[in-house]
Formats: sequence, structure tokens, C-alpha cells
Amino acid sequence: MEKEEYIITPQGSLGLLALGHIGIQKWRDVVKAEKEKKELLKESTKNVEKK
Amino acid sequence: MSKKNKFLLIGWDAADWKVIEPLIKQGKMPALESLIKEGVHGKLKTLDPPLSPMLWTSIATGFRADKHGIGGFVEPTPDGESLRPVSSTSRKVKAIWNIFNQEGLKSNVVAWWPTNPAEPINGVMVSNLYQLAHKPLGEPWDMPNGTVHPAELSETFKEFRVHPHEITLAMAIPFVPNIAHNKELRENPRTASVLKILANASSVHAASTYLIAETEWDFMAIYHDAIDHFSHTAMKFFPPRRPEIPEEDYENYHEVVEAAYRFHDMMLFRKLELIDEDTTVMIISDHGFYSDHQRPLFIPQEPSGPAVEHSPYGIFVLKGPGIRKNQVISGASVIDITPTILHYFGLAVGKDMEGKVLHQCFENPSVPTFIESWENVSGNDGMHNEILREDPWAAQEALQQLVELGYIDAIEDGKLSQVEDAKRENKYYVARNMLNGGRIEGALEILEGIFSESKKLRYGQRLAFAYLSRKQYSKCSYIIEELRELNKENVETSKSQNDDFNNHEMEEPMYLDYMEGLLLLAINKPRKALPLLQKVQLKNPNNLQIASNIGKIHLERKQYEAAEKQYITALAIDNTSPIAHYGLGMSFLRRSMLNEALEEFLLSLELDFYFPNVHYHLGETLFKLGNFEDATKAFEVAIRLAPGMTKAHKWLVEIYSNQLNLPEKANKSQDFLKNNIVGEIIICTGIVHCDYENFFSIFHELNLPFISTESLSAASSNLHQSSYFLKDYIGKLIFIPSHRLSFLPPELNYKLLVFTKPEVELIDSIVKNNIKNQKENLVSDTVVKLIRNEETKIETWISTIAGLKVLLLNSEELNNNKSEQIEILTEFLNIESNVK
Repeated sequence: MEKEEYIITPQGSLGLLALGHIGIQKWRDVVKAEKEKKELLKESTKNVEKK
Repeated sequence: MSKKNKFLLIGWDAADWKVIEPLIKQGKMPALESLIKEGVHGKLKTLDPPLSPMLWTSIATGFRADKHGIGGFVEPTPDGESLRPVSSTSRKVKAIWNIFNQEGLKSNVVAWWPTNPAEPINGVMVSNLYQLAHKPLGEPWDMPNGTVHPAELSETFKEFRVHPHEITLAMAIPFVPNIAHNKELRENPRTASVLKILANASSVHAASTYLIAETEWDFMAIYHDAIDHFSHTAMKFFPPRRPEIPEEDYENYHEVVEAAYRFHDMMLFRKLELIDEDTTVMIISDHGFYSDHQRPLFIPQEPSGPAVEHSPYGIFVLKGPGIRKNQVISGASVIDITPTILHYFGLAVGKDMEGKVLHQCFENPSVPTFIESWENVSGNDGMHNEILREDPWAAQEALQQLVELGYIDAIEDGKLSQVEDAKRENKYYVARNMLNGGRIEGALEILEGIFSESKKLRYGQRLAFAYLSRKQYSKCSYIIEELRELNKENVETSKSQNDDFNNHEMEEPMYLDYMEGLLLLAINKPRKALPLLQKVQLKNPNNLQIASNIGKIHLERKQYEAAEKQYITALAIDNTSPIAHYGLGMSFLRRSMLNEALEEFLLSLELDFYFPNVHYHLGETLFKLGNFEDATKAFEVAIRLAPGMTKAHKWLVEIYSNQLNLPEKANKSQDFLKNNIVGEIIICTGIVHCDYENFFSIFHELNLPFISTESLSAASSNLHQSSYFLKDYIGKLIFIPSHRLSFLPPELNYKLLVFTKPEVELIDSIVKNNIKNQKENLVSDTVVKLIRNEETKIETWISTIAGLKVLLLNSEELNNNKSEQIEILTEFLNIESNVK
């Protein structure tokens, strides 16, 4: 069986779920990073607006 | 014991070859395909009733429900006031992981039915309540008490759970593609169910991959309920669309089932990546799921009603070192799994276990060793020693899921009668399971109890079936009558209450006709059975059993073309029915269409090898084709499967002596025949005062070799001392009073004619006779008791003689339609062995 390389996006995929615990952990890391990035962006947008 | 390689057992509830095979052909299940190519596979026969908690416990223990203690989906709480999902503490015997525990092997068990609270085994157990979400995403999502053993791993496993609200559009689209552009569809409860099942399956898989990769283990059992749940949710939309299914629903949900199977294959692929080549892998399902024209059009409004969607064969795949490659096996049952795995590990099989070792899977099969019972073996088995309390919220959630799937009714607060109903229902399942296993006596006791308490039609139907199986024909007949009366009352009540007439209970008369048809078939009245069964068939054109039974009637009546038609109908319903292939083969054989017959018998054996009659008739066909050597092989197999099959021995004597000139080989069968008297004695009996003379005069009219009561009386009165004289009566009709039947030696071959009379007339005759003879004046209640007593004597004897053919002759029918009755009698007596 050939191994595939996964590109993880916040949307996730069935393939990630099928990877089991590793897939879920990695996906949640990406979701968390994305969320943090968005919050950071939101924060910085607010700061720019204040200025 | 010697250390074996690891063993991975994966359960896919309700997985069915009829869905899998086309997907494999299209290359859509490559992981399963690889296992099939490198191992053995076949169908796995389920048990009745096909209910998951009961079946997965049988799989893990090798016992049926009456022994293992898991009857249904729910059980009363310890206070008896409400219901909870069935728990691990109710299992009465050791599961395979408990046996391994005692033998020093490490097991991991994930989500197996029912394993909450998790058992303290030498390994890890994650219970069947693990994956269920009972709070919205974002709120604390605790696990119920006892979900994980050892408890210190609970935090680790918490993180592997996927909440249904976490499922993204990208994950859901393969199941419901239209949600990509239809926002309303995302809110649809059916879509929500799909997402929930997907999340649960992902949770179970994640816990499994962690355990496979990160822990030491010898045996691992993982249970996925998702295929069953996806199928109950969406199999009705599986292609091809049936006219009753709304087009819009079909468009939205027709890909759910295929996506479910493909997702399971993806999960399997991952599991296979994580194990080494030396790990043995077994994939099984507890039952199948109708996916074609056999899909029921409605679900009965009764507990466990959705089980009508379950089909009787699940899947079995086994691959590993020492396992045969690319082979199809037959004759496997869910009850065989534990004995087979124990044998794989070199452990003894419990003699009290009902299953067998599936030798046919092994490249070099070895003789299994046996132990009286694993239950008597002491040591740390990792079972519970006290009942643990569980989180009521989690239990409630599990119940809710069962309610949503239609397995149980919604529970109303304070409704204690529901607990009583559930207890009776559990007993009903156990009784069905016992009936299915041939333990009819025990089943009868339970069914008589619950039917007299509740008068539920379903219980009465099974009771009638149990009486029929026990050859208690008059009791069966009384119950059918009672059920017809009960049903009339129910219909009246429903009409007066304007109940929905689409209720399953309204279908009962059909079922009762069917039961009556089977009863008539059992008492050798096929021509009376035929119109009843045909009537039932008109309403149930997709019922395999009805078509097969009608086919059987035509075969018995030598109407071979009509039989062929019925068996072709049966095969159109299910082309994997070994009985239908056999029946079709018989219709060809009796018309000397030998090549056609040969093909059908071979197909039948491919589907079920353990079918002695098919081997026998295959032998007969091969003989007629001049293939004597293969014919002897077929007869030898028939004898191995049914050692008392006299007719197969006769053929072997004929072939070895006269065709192959191997007299020394004929000796074995010759000896058997010498020691087993060949030929039948036709026993006539009946209840007193049922006009014997009428029947005797018919015998004389037909010039039948009837031995009169007078000439027999001296000898028959000494039956209890000597029965040797009976050998002189082979091929003749003799009268034996009902109270002397039990003295007849069981080693002789018999047919039985029972003389009967309508009960009212019988009572009248007995009362009049007593008055005439100046005996006590009997009241009718006492007479009824006398009649029942006589009937019981006859039925008790019938039940002790295996394969006894019985014909009930009724004096009223004889008076009303003598020629028809004579024809029935002649047909019955003319059933002859086909051996020269």
C-alpha cells in the first residue's frame, strides 16, 4: 500500500479522520493555529482602527 | 501456552457482502480487498434474533443469550424503577479477553457491546459509551464513570473523541454531497444523524489507532456500530431508488451507505498500516443488512422493529500467518468466533461453548483441545467483582440514540410498566435465541409465561412456532386459534379508536395463515397448506421462506415444474439461498435433468457445505451421470455429516459392490445396514372414541397391509417387555394405542398416522360411551383434560423420534371428502426411498 502525504487545512477531511488519533490531533492543531491567527488578525485590525 | 502473533478482531456491525462486493469490483474498498486476496472469506451466519448486544456478546463468549445473560438493548436500573443501556456487569460468563487475562495475554477492547463499565483487564478497555456526545460542543464533555480502564488513561482518550459539531463540510460532503450548495439540508435531522454517526465512528477509530500503535497487546477487539447506524438511517435511499422513496430524499441521501463503507475501508487501511505483517486480522459482522429488493417497506411498530432490515448473513474475513489464501469458506457462524480464536492461540475450547473451530480457515488444521468449561478455571480473569455506577446522563444519551434509531420506544417518566414490558421483551429475545439454538423446552417455558402474562401476539406467534418445532401439533393449533381471536379483538379495538391501520399488528392474520400453513405441512397435509401459503405469498412476494416452502410442497407432490417456478422465485429474492438452490436442483433431478441438477447442488454446497441432504442428492445425480467415484465421495460426506443416513449407506453398498467392484469398501456400509433395520413400520394411533373403524375400513378398501387390533393385541400388550416381534411388521400398518407408544423401540423406522375427530364430537362420544357403560357421568372439563392427556402422550412420543413423518387423519374430513382423504393417505404412504 502506498503512503500518501496529507496537506491539513482547517476544513479537515475524511482522510484525516481515517488517520485516527494522529490525524485528529494534527487537524485540531491546525484549527487552533488558524483560530489564533484569526484572533490575532482581529486584534491587530482593532488596534489599527483605534489608531 | 506458546506465544502467538498478535490478533486483531474488527467488528463492522451489519456489514453485508451485497454492498461490499460491487464496491470491491469498482476498486472502492482496496484495504478489504487486500485481506480477501491474502486470506479466507465467507458469510457469517447470524443468530435469531439479530440484535447487536446479544450477538456481539455471543461473538465474544461462544455462548447464546440464556447463558451469557445479555438479552436486549436495555436493562432495568438496579433500583428496578427505570431502564438503562445494557451493561457489562450483566454478562454472566467470561468473554475471550477474560480467558486471555487468565492465560497471561494482554488485550485491548474498544467500544464492544456492552462493555460499560470497562472491565479491569490486563490491557486497556474503552467502553461502548465512550464516543457518545451528550453536551453541545464547547461545554465540558466528561466521560461516564467506568468508560476507560485503566482510569488514568481517561484524559488521553477524552482528546481522541470527535464531537458531531466538529464535523466539517469537507468531511460531510462525501456522505451528503448536496449540502455543499444546500444550507437547509445541513439542518435536516437526517443529516444531523449522519454527522453524529460519522463523529462516533471517528472517535472509536482514533481510540483504536492509539491503542494499536502505542500499547503492547496480544489481542485487540474493536467494534464499529456505524455501518449498522448509517444503514438504518439511509439504506432506504441506496440505489436503485424504489418508487415509494421521494425523489428529493433519494437525491440527497443515496450516497450515504456507499460513503460509510468506503470510510470504513479507509479506517481499515490505517489500522493495517499500524500493525505488522505477522498480525492476524479478522473482520466480521454480526448480521447483514438488506440492500436490494428485500428491503422492508415499513418498520414494525414494536421494540427492536428495525431489526427487520437485518439479513441473516454477515461477513467473515481472516488473514494472517497460517491462514489459507484467497479461499472462500462456508458454514461459519457468529458463535464460532471465540472457539476459533482460542484455537488460534493454542488454547482449549470450552466444551460448554456452542460454536466450533473453523478448521477450514487454517493451512494446516490441528485437532482442537477441549476443556470442560472456562467458567471453572480460577485466576485473575479481569471481570468485575462489583457493580459500578454509571453516569445517568451518558446512559440517557445512549438510550436516546436507540430511540432515534427506532430500536426502543421513548421512555416516559414514572412509567414502571415500561420496565416490566422491557423485562418481558428481554425474555422474549432470550427465548427466540434458545429456539434458534434448538433449546426448545427452555424457550417454551419462557414463552408460555410471557404470553399468558401479556397476551402479546408476537409472543404467541413464537409460542406457536415453538410448539410446532417440538411437534406438539395440537397445542400449536390451539394457540393459532387463540391468536386469531386475540387479533380480531385488536382489530375491533383499533377500529373503534381510529388507530392507524398501518400498524404491524394488522399484518398478523397473514402471519397466522403462514403458521397454519407450516403446521399443515408438518402434519403432512401439503395440499391444504398450499392455498394458505399461496395467499400469504400474494401479500409477501419477496419472502424467501414462503417461496421455498411452497416449492417444497410442489416437490412432495411431485409437481416438479411448479416447484422449479417457486425456487426460481426464491432465487430471484435471494440468489445466495442454499435451500433454494437445493430445491431447484431437486426439481431438475426428479425430471432427469441431471446436469442442471448437478450445477444447482454444487451452488448450494458452495453456499453451505454442512447440508447432508445436498451431498446425498449430489451423490445420486453423479451416480446417474455414471460418475461413480465422485458419487461415493458425495455419499461419504453425507454420512460424515449425518452418520445415521441409512439411504446413503445403501447407495455406497450398491456402488462399491456392483459398479466399482470394491467389496471390501462396501462392508462398512453393509455392516451399518445390518445393524440398522431398514424399512418403516406405519404406526396408527389416536384418541379413544375417534371412530377407528372408519379408518380401518379405508385400509381394507385400499387393500393396505393392516394388522388388525385383535391379531396384534397379545403382542402389543407386551410391548414394554419385548418389541422384537415388530421387525415382522416392517412395511405394514399396525395399531398401537397412545399409552403404549412410548414402548416402541426408537431404533426402528416409523411413520405415524394419527386418527382425530372434531373436539366437540369427541367429547360427546366419550360422555355418551360412559353413560352407555354406566360409568361415572363425566363433565366436559374432565373430558377435555382426558383428551389433552392423550394428545400429550402422542406428541411426546413424536418428539422423541427424529425425522418422524406424521399424518393427521380427521374423521369429519374423511366423511366429507373421502376421495381427497384417500389421496392424501396414499401420497403419505407412497413416500418411498429413491434407492433401489
